[in-house]
Amino acid sequence: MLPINLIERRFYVDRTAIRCYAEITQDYNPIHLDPDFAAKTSMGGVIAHGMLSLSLLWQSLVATFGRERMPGTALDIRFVKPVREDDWVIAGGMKADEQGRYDVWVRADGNGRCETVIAGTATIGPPPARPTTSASTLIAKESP
Amino acid sequence: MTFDRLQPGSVLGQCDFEFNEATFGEWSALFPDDSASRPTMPSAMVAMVLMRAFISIMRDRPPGNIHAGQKFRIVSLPVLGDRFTTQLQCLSKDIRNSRRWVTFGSETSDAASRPLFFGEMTTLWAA
Repeated sequence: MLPINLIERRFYVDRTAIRCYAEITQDYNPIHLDPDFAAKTSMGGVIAHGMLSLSLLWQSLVATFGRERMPGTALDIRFVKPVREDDWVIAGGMKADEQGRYDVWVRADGNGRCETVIAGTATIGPPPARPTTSASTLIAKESP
Repeated sequence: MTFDRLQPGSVLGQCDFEFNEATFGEWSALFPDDSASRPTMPSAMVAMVLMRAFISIMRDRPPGNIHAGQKFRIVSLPVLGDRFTTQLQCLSKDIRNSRRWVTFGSETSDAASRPLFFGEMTTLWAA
């Protein structure tokens, strides 16, 4: 039986986290790091890397289903709105069908707003195969 | 690499990567819960692998590109010490509402060429 809701995960996105994610990914796009440059773009200011917030969705899936279900799992999302410095981001989701598909989201809470910043679907991988050499199998094999 | 020069269907390059203690340590410092994944790479790190490959291969990209959408499909996850390769391809490009849309595809494979995970990144290209 699949759970109705994903276990939510939260993360505080401050300038240090954005800088740290830039270093890990080596993505130094000035829209994430340079306030003067970012202010002149359509974003109107510094935004966090979309993938930083997306990490939280993976963590929500792992918390809900366990790491062993990640092989076979797929995500398909849109970055709907930017995440800004000093936002809290919260990732979660709700079951869409019994075949393992979930509607997933990341919401930003901060700077006077609470809104969806990432939306999409996750399809959960199948449970790992059970070992074929279980006790009952061994007994059956060893029986005459 | 400007929008005009991107060719849908073309392979843009590939990038080798090793999942090692240093990288895992950097990641775990930002996301401490993921340290429990050891020795397996946390699933969230597929994004890091893709971005490092993208940054490495697309060195002369214009500043100010915007990441609009992302797909991932995990087949298997590497463990500490594993080496693997990400190949990047331009899947499509088009202009809608005066905006330049480019979609890149990635395939990450292990040393034996077995697929580990796939990505598809949709961007608003700046120039």
